Order: sequence, then structure tokens, then C-alpha cells
Amino acid sequence: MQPLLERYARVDFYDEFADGDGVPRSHYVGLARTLRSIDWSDFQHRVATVNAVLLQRGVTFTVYADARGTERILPFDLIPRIVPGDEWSLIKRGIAQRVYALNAFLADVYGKQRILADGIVPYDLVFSSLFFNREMIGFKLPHDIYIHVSGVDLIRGRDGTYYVLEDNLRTPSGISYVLENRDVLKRSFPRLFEHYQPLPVDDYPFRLRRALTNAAPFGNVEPTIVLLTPGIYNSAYFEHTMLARRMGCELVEGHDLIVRDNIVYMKTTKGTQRVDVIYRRIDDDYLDPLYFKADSSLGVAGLMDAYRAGNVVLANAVGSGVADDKAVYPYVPAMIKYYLGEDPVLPNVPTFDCNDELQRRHVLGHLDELVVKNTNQSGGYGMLMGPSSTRLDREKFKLAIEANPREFIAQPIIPLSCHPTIVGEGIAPRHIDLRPFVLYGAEIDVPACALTRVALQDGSLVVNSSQGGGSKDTWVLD
Amino acid sequence: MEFTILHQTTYRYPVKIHESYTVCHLQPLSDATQYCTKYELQIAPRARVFTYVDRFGNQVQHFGVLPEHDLLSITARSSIATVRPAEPEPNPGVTREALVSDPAYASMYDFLRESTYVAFGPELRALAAIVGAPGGEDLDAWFAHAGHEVHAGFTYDKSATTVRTTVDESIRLRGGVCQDFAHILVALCRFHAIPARYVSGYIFSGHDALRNGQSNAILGAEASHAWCEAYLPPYGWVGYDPTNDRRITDCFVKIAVGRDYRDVSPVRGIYKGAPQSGGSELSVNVAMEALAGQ
Repeated sequence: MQPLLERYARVDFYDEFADGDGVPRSHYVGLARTLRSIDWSDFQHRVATVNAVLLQRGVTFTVYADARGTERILPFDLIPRIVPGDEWSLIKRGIAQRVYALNAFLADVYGKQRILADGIVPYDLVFSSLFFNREMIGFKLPHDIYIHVSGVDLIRGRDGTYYVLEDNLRTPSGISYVLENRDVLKRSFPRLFEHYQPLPVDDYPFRLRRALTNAAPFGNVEPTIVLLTPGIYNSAYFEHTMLARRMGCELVEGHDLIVRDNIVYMKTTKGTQRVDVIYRRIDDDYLDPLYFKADSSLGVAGLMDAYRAGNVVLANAVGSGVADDKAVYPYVPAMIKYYLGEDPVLPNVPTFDCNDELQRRHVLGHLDELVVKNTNQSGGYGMLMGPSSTRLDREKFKLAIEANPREFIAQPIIPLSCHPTIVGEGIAPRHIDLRPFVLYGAEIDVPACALTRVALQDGSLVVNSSQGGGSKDTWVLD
Repeated sequence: MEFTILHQTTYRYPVKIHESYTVCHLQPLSDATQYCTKYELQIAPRARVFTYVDRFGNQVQHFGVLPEHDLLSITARSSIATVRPAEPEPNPGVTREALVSDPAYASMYDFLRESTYVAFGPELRALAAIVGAPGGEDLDAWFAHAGHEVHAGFTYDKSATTVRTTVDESIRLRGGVCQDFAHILVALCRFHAIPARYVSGYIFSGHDALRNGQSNAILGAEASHAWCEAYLPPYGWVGYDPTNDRRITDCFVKIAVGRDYRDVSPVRGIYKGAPQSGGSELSVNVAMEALAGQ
């Protein structure tokens, strides 16, 4: 009967759990007590049960570019991450501010383009973005809202400062893990849960529905909402079914919808029914074969015309991706200043723009120290982690950067904070990040739902699920 | 001059199709040089037509036909008055400095870069070397010179190219139609950092027919035309027709402008029930008539 926590050794990063002297931080005292009181064999038993439950429920994701897309369960780590109330209120303020500014940016670049004309953000940067959707120029959206649902990735530096690493404004996924993780953890540690009383997460589908309802065209108080999925082969299909079910809306594929006289209808067994809001989990390019990829069978022909006419709301708006282009990211603090007249609540990670010659030269000279990211890829794909890279990797990136500098940014390696995590031989610190979700219907709403992703490999700083990351339940305290 | 134009497009399908959605650029623009006094679009089978203004300022119509059909016919009728000079003068004094310091220049990204049909391939680069770079002093003179070079170096040949031919392909073939000539001139301008756009429209050549004692209506699709416009401040967008080696006169009618043909194709669409490229039969008929007394 070995006390679990004795196995935990601190390393040289910000430790979420314990302070510099190895004493648990005040909000982790309760968890420390629990971990000390259970024994390893009992714990392993709980871990096995949890994994069986998750697999049975089908909480799986698909890994692309892997042996033909295999289904895996997202490894779930049983030790919850705890976010105290004061930190959460800072996070809430910071990400709400960010989403306001990013939304204003989208309304601007697809409208008057003031920020470009004023020289704050370069024209070329926006127009060269793969995600700048020219069809959207001149659109007038109901309520001027583009980013109905977003997930902002936060990390903590050595001193515990929260940084924004990435804004996910297209179709951020992960909320299903938040809901499932909570369900499972509540049962595994009922007393600990009772002790902490974290803010609930299971109101997320209700709040999402409320945001989508508010997003409907003016005056429509009871809109028909559907969730548009690419189908069962999508990595997040499980999440689509879960959200549709819990929101009480239809889960549809492109062929279930039809556009007649600029209005979108859903085909049902009782005829057609008008659709007002589409929570779409399909990328822009596949939405409408008339305007985008003509060979796409995932979308709905004529959808863009109905959208332009204001007869249907798409959440998120088409073209939102230009605001979370990795090369646009360095300009977000300037956007906050420009549109809101405020200083950013949460800082950016310093970023080198490879399109700038001086910065590019610096990047190429320090590839072994930096993390390089491809601006057209996400999910941990197309990335170079300098310190752990081989000479060959670096050589490949050097050539790629020189050929297409616009497509790369580089950042210093931020040593992500660590959190006690179950590993084969006990409990050890592993790097984590935090993805809170932001809803924007009429007003910004930040539910207490955040996904903590954890890099399960020792020393790894990559938390993406497709790259061997796992997740933790995240307890937000009042 | 005043014109009436009939533009009829008919698709016949070997099998029944359904849920066809069509987008049209057929309505002549109204601007300082021409005014569209009447425009109507007739669809068979019947369909409700919607209009919007796209980001280039073009009037776009679209419609859907959901029931099964094996024939789709789109008839556009318009009346236009043009007020351009019959013999346009050159536009002197457009310097490189004036161009780059023009406030609109920074926002010309799309008209300075490659686009779907306008690529800077090896053939284009070679041609650009032959045509020569514009000096800094008179960009309008270079524009006309480049247009002339395209006209002189290529043969008008309807069988050489298709609607999907790229700039490099048509240069290699040394021939093409107005669309190809326009794309080449657009590419040359952009390659030399002069903003350029593609214009789709009509050209009236009835004067020649009249002289030959024929009717003044040009039958067939010959009246459909395309040319190039360059942004030359302070004159704004200035046109040149490389197919006929001339500036844009009152015999030209503008329909739409865009990066290239793809942005302004007169009729495009998709449907269900048969392969998109399989076996449909397309006929286009354009009749352009000048009003009497001219």
C-alpha cells in the first residue's frame, strides 16, 4: 500500500499542484488528501473502469494521417485539474475581450476594411490567408456576429502567467470530452467532487442552444436549429451526435437540406421544414458546391445564396478562419487596442513572422530552439519542435520556410505548466494546456467548461489529441 | 450608342436532371461610361430569379430549378446606352510613382496576383521579357503596347482553346479567343505590378456588316467578348482590347469585372442526376443590335 503522491517529483516548470517548496497549493489540498488516502491497486482498478466506460460510450476520435484513420479513445486522466475562481475570472475577462476584438476584426475585413486601410494589419497578410473567404466580402450578418462558438487555447509560462497560444474560431471540438470526463469523474470521486463543488458543465448544451437561438435573424424567437455534420467519418462525429441530442436539435448531413427560393429546408418524413440556424461542423470549402469545392457532396447547393440573403444563420460564419490564421495571431493585441481601446488582459506568446525577412533570418538561425508552425495546418500537424527535432527535420523546414515564408510562424518554446498525471509507474508531472469555450449569441457567454489537454509522454509539450495527448476533467471553482 | 442585346443560353441533358442551381453574370453594368436602361432574365422551366451585387460591383442573378428537367434555357434581354468616345485618346502621365502612391493601390492585392486562369508560368515570363518592362514614366503607353504585342503575336483561333485554358497553354498554342487574349494581357500587367482585371462583355461590329450590305445584327456568339482593364490613376480603370488591338470605344458593352473568367463566367451551375461534365449539349446565341439612327 504505497502512498500515491510520494511518487510525484517536481520538475522545473510551473507546477499547478504544488508551490516551490513542494507544498500543495491551497486549492489542491483536498485533492492531495484524497490521493494520499487511496492505494495504487484500487486506483488502477478505477482507471480500468473509466476506460471501459468511455470506450463503451464511444468517446473516440479518429487520427488522420495514421494507418487509415483508426478510432481511439481519447486517453482520460483521472486526476482532475482545478482552476480557482480568481484565475477563472481573469481567464473569462481575457478570452471574452479577445473574442469581441476578433469578431470586430472579421466584421471589418469583410466590410469596410478600416484596420487594413489604417495600416494596423497589412492587406497582404489578410488577402494571402487561405481562410480569407472572398465570397464573404460585403455580407451583412445578423447582429454582426461571426464567432458564435470558439475555443481559446491557453498555456502557462514558468511563472504561472496565462498566455493565449491559439484562437480556434472555425469548428473547435473537445466539448464532448469535457461533458464525458465530468460524468465519469463524478462517479469515480463522489466525495472529492462533493468537497470541491466545481461549477457545472452539463449546462453547456443549453447555453449553446441559447446562443444559437439568439443568433437567429431578428425577430425569430423560436428558430429551427440544426447541427450540420460531415458524417460518420469525421473525427468529431461522436461530439456532433452528442451535442445535437443534448441540445434537442436535428443532426443533419448535407443531403438532408435543400435550398428552395433562397430558403433552407430540412427534409423530414412529414415534408420539408424551414431551417433558421445551422450549427455547422463542416469546413468552409465543403459548405456549398455552387461557390466552393464543386465536387463536395457534404454541403448544400445554394446555401451561400440563402446565407447572403439573410435567410439562414451559419455558426460560425463562413470565413472566420482568417482571424485565427496563425500568421494573423501576432496582430490580435493590436486589434484589441484598435477596436476596444483596451490593453489585452491575456498576453500573446511572442511570435516570429517568417514573411518578414529579418525575423525569418532569426528563425532560420535558431530552428533548434523554436517551435515552428505551419499556418495552414492545425491539430499539431505540420509542426517542428526545435529542441527535439533531428537535423533532417530542421533541413526540411528550412527549405519549406524559404519556399513559402507566409505559411510559417515560429515561437520560443514555452515550458507549459505541469500537473500530476497518472503514468504507468505512478503519478508524475505532465504538461497541460487549457481550452475554455466561448459562446457569442447576443452577448458573450463563457460557460465553466474547459478542456484540459495533457501530453502523456514524459517531457512532451504537444498536447493535441492527434499527437498522443490525453485529457483531464477541469474543475472550475466559484 | 444604344444597343439591344439578346443573350440566350440553352442546356440540353441526355437524361433528366434535378436540383439545378445556376449563377449568371449577364446584366450589363451601369457606370460613368454606360447605362443599362432595361434588363430582364427569363428562365425555362420557370424559376424565381434573385439578384445580388458581388464584391466587384457586378449584378449577379441566381436561381434554382428543383423538379426534374432535361432542358434549361436562360434568356437575357438588355438595352444599353454607351457614352464612351468613338475614338479614345491615350491617357498620358501615369507614372509608376503615381500608381504606388495612389490610396487604392494597397487594396489591389487580388488584381496584382495570380488567379485561377492567370498564372505567371514560364511561357508568360518569356513573353513578358519580349514585351519588355514598363518604364516609370508612361504606364498607359506600355499598356497599349502590351495589348498590341498580344494582338500581333497570337492568332484568333476558336478551335485552339476551351473556357478552361490557362495563360501558359494559350501562349504555347500561339492562339485562342478573346478570353485567352484578355487573360494574357491581364497576366502581363500583373506580372509587371500594374493592377489588372478581366472584363466580360459584348462588342458591336455591326458597322462592318452594314457596309457589306448585311443586316446590322450579329448572329451567333461572336458579340460576346472579353478584354482587360488596368488601374492607371488618376484615370482609374482603363480598358484595352487585345483581340482587336484597340482601346475601348462606345461599341463595347461591359457586363462584369473580376480577377479572371472564373469570377464573371456568364452562366455556371451545378445539378444532380447526371455527371457534371457528361454529355450536356450547350448552345449560346447572342444577338446585338444598334438602335436606328446611328
